[in-house]
Formats: sequence, structure tokens, C-alpha cells
Amino acid sequence: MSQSPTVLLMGHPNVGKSALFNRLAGASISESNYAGTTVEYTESQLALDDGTVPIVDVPGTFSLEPKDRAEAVAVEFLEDASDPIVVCVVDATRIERGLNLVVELLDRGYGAVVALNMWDEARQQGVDVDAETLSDLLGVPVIPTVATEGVGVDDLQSTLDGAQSSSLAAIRERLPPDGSDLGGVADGSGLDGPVDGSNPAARWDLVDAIVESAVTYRETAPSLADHLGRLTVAPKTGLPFAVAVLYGLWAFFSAVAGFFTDGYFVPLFDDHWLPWIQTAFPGEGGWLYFLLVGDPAATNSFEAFGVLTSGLFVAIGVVLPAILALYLVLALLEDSGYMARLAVLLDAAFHRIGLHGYAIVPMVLSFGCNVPGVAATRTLETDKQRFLTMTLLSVFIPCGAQLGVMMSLIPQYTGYILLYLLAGFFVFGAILNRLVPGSSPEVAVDIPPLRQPRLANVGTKLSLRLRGFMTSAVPFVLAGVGVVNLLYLGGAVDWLATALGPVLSGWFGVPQETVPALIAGFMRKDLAIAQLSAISMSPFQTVMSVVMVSIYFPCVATFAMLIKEGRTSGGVLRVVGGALATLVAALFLWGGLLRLGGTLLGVA
Amino acid sequence: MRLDEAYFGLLGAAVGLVGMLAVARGLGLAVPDPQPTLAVLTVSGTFLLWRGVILLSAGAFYLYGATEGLEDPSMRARVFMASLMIWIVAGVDLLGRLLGAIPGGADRWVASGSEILAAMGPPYSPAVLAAPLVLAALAYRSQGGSP
Repeated sequence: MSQSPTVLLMGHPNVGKSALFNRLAGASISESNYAGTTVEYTESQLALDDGTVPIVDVPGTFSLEPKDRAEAVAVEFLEDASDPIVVCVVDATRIERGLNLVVELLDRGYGAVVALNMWDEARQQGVDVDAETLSDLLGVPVIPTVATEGVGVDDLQSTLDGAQSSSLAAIRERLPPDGSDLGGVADGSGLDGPVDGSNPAARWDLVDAIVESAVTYRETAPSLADHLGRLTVAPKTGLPFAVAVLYGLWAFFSAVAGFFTDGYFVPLFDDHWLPWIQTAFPGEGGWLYFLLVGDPAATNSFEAFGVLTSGLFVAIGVVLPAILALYLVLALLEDSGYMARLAVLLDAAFHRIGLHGYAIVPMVLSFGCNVPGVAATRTLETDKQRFLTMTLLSVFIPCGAQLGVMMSLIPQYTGYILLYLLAGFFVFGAILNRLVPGSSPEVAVDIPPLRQPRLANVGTKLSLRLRGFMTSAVPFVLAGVGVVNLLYLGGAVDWLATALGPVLSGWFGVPQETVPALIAGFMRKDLAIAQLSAISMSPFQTVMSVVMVSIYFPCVATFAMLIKEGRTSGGVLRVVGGALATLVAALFLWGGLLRLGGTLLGVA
Repeated sequence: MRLDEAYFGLLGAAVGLVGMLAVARGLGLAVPDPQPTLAVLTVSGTFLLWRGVILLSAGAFYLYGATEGLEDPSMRARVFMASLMIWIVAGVDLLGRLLGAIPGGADRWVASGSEILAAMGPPYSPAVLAAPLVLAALAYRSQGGSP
């Protein structure tokens, strides 16, 4: 290579681009067994014989005519790169679909190498691809690979120098004569005349002819995994199985989080760390002591409310174990291919709120953290769908950190609160669907095969997410405690409590002492709920205030992500303004409804 | 009738009945706990309604598979799926018990072996008791989809 061209990994969603990227670049980026893992590009360096070249894992795209933001990013990358080498990753089990993109790329004159991925699964499913014939027909190198196992990766790497461009006319000439009459299309642009690459029907005809020459299909009996895959998307069997999976997720989350928090971190912080720092830290009664240690008479770390007491305890002792458990189960579900099946099962319910089943992906990611959940809305097709999903996620879906604190403080109410919030998600979704203009197109949900999760990939994903939590969330928790304490010292909390007191007690029935928690909630909602535990309230008031904190405002990190995504989803003002209007309405209506219900039942 | 059809048919009836009991107790109906009469079994605890729904569904899948015939690969898959559901419930139940028993409280970091063993002893939930019995479904894993 005379210059240093960029290697672009392109292909449909969920064909193994990220797995191949990790193998080629020796990187550790997240891979999942469902479409839409990559909504941002990831860049690294690829070592070749004569130096290194940049390699980019771009979001999956079905064609070069983008249908959503993630696809637009992929196409922009292709168009902006100067003389790129495109590694077109094709799922060998669904070779026709992948070849359509290959043909489209070649028609636009890009130099390409085809990675025929999932080669092993294709053989098992009776799809025999003659890679040599395919390469001869396409006029570009075709390398069979199994990216998850590293099979064929060295061959692929050594072939990158041989990336070539090819024309559709040349491909047509190389096709055997008996294949030329396979694809006459209605509009007359079949294989008898020049192939028009911009015409999808003509492209498909060419693909059919290529497949006819290079691929043979054997009859194979469906495996147990195939049968299980079908049962998991059929409502009569799939819904009870989904209940079992979600129960398992919840019970695992509770057991692991409880083990670390109640079993070890509570005694560690309350019996050792808190008494030690209360006596060892100098200047009791001073502002620095109040800021960092908090209440010198507190007997547990939730109530002390200093940066080094409650801040550390919430971040490390409560939230970290909770997200460890949640991320582990989510990674297993993602890798197994079950997440996409859940999307199919819930498709009908999501249609009622103007979305489709794949909205489950940002929704489930939001149960870990709202930030990647909002980012994942890029795979949705229209501005309306992205706005609806972003708004509903940031208002109604509690993150794993928040759930962890709720499970620690009010385990008996957490399930009910979660159900109430999920009900709000769908009720307000249905309302917004009617109010917000725009289209909600039907899409075909792509279902990946069920696979045994790979421990190495689950480990990578877990470590990446935990690292992200430690570097992004922990500073917010500590800063949140600091900000609230500074506002206390400046008298702002007392002023706000007096000003908001009538609304809080009149409409929501909670004491004005909840104001500091609401302020903390803007920094971190987990921190806000931890702070609520220090306030003397009735059980209903506790539930009410937790619901309020959950709904009332997205944390600052989610808010920043809303602004970022709003730019490409109809405008920042529209997205952020709409989300704020929704949360104000949701806070007063959904929160007020809970108060009304409690009053009618005699518990408020 | 094949032996496996009889086996999973009986198992389905038993699991389904216990599931119904769990659903009834989960809904708050005054159904007595069988623990006093069956020392190793208890139908109680958190999320009883949901666990009952899962057991009831698994029982129905076993019965349906057994009556439709387990020579059909899709019916065997249904039985396997029911077993997965039971293993999930049993697995998290045992994990919860184990993790709840390991911390030794304020005095020591890890509880003694005898304390942990005692926590893992009976009575057990229906899913834990059924879990080893439904291991027979693993045989269908090696048979794949072919009849």
C-alpha cells in the first residue's frame, strides 16, 4: 500500500462486524447477538506487513440508502473516507441479503474484500458456499470467517492488500450463460441488458444469479435451538418463558446486589469506615467537615450525607454491586440472542405507542443506564419514534443504580414502583403517539439465532460497562453530595423547601424535607433515593417520593445525551422541550394519580 | 406410549398442581402451606404469584408435550423449554439462599460451613425439588431436531 487507506468494516447489523473488529485490531469493543450494538463508529489500528492502517467498525447498514441515523453514519463514513478498503462482512447463513450490499458497494466503485462470516453456522444449516467461485464471479477476494473463533481472520488480514473494485457489467459477463436468464425483471432491466445498480430489482436479480452459481442448499433438520427459537417468539409459549427469564433476572439481581451490599458493604461502611472517619477527620463543626463527612452523629452511611461517607457508600457499596449483577444478566441475554426475541414478543404492545419491538433494546439498556439507552434510539427509523423513546426512557425507566438503591432501602415496594412506572411508560406513550406528529413505520424485526453466550465476550462487555460506570457515574455521585451540601450551607435548600413546600405537601403529600433529594436527583437519582431514606416518612410517602424522584427529571448525564441526540432527531429544542413538558405533565398527573389512589385506599 | 411421555406427563401434572397452589397462595387465597405435611416442600416466599405462574406454565408444557407425542421434535423442544423455566427459578432460588447465608454478620466475614449448610437444607421450593427430576430433558439436547 503506497498510502494509508482506512479499512472500513461494513455489513448488515448483527453479522459479526464488531467481533471481527476485535479480532483484527486486538480491541475489546462490545459485541452482541442482536442488531444495533454499534450505533457509533469505533476506530483502532490494524497491523499490516508494511505498517499500520486505521480500521473502523461502522454501524450496520442494510443498504447505502440510509433509513435511520445509525445507517446514515455508516454511509457518511464510506463517502467521507478517501480511497477506503471496504471489508464487507456478510452473514453466510443469509448470503443473498449480504450480497445485495456487496453489489451495491461494487457498483459505486469501492474496493472491497468480502468476509463470509458465520461460515460454520452456514454449513450446519445446509448452506454450502463455493467461496472460490463466488470470488471469481464478484472479482474481489472472498474469505470464509468465523469471527467469534478467529477462524479465517489471518487470511482476511493478508488479503486486504488485494482489495479490488469490480463493475456489475463485469460480474454479469462472468456469470455462466445458463444463469443469465434467471432474473428478468418486470421493468425490463434484467440481466439481458446493462445492470442498473441503483435499481434494487435489478440488483436482486444479479444476486440471485450469483447465488445460483456459487451456493447450494442442503436439506437439514431443524436443531433443538431452532425449535426453541421458534417457541420463544410464539406468544403462547414465549410469554411464559419471558416471565421466567425476567423473574430470573430480577431474582439474580436482588440476590447478588443484596449479597455484596447487605452482606459486606453495609457492615464495612457502618461499623468501620463511618465511625473512623467521623473521629479521624479534623474540624468537626466546620464547613469542610460538613461537606466531606456530613452529620457527625449519624449511625449509618445513608444518613451521614458527606462526600466521603454517603457519597462513597452509595457509589461503591450500593450501586456498583447492583449494576454488576444487572449488566451481567443483560450481557448474557444480549449474547444469547434472546433480546431480539423479547422484541418480537413485545412488538404488538409497542405498536400501540407508535414504536415497534426493537424499542425494547434501548429500554432494556436503560435499565442499566439511561445514557446508552438514549444513544441506542438511533436505530429507530423516524424522528417521532426517537423522540417518543428518548422521552419515555428518560422519564419512566429507572436505571440499574437507582434500582439497586431502591432494592436496598425499600425492597418490599420496589416491584410495585417499577410496575407503576412501566404503566406510565405505556400510558404516556399512547398519549404522545397521538399528540406528536410524524410517522411510525412498520419494520421487520430481524431475529438472530439462539446461541450459547461466550464467556469471553460477556466478560469484555461487563468490564467495559463497569469501567464506564466507575469513570462517569462515580464522580457524579460524589459531586452530587458536594453540591447538595454546598446548597445547604448557602441556605438555598431551606429557601427551596419553603417555596416548594405547599406543592409538595398539597399535591403529592410528601414533606418539604424531600427538596434536597430532588436537587440531588438532578445529579444522580440513586443518590436522591438514598437521601430520601434519611427522612422520616410513612410507607406511602416513601413510595410517593421515590416515584417523584424517578419521574421528575433525568439525571444530568441523561440530560446531556438528550441534547446531543436531539440535534439529529428533530432539533434540540423539540426533543428537550418535549421531554421537559412530558415530565412535568407526568410528574403532576401520574404522581397525582398515585396520591389519589393512596387517598382512596386510605394509605396516603 | 413412550416411557418419556409417561414420565413427563406425570411430572407435568405434579408441577402444574403445585404451580396452581403457588398462584392461589400468591393471590392471597387461604390455602394451607404443605410444609407441615411434606417436610421438604414449602410453597411460600417472595414473588410467589410469579413463581406459581412459571410452574403452572411449565406443567402445562410438559402435559401438552406428553399428550401430543414426544417423537415430534417440536414437542421435545417444548419439554426442554419447560425444564429451562424450572431451572431458572430453582437456580436463582438456590443462589439467593447461598449468597444470603455466606456473610457472617458484623463479627466475621464468612459464616461457618455448618451455618451455610443449614441454610441450604430443606424445606425447598417446588422448583428446586423438580429441577433434578427434569434433568431428563437434557437427553433431547443430544438428539437435536431429528426424530
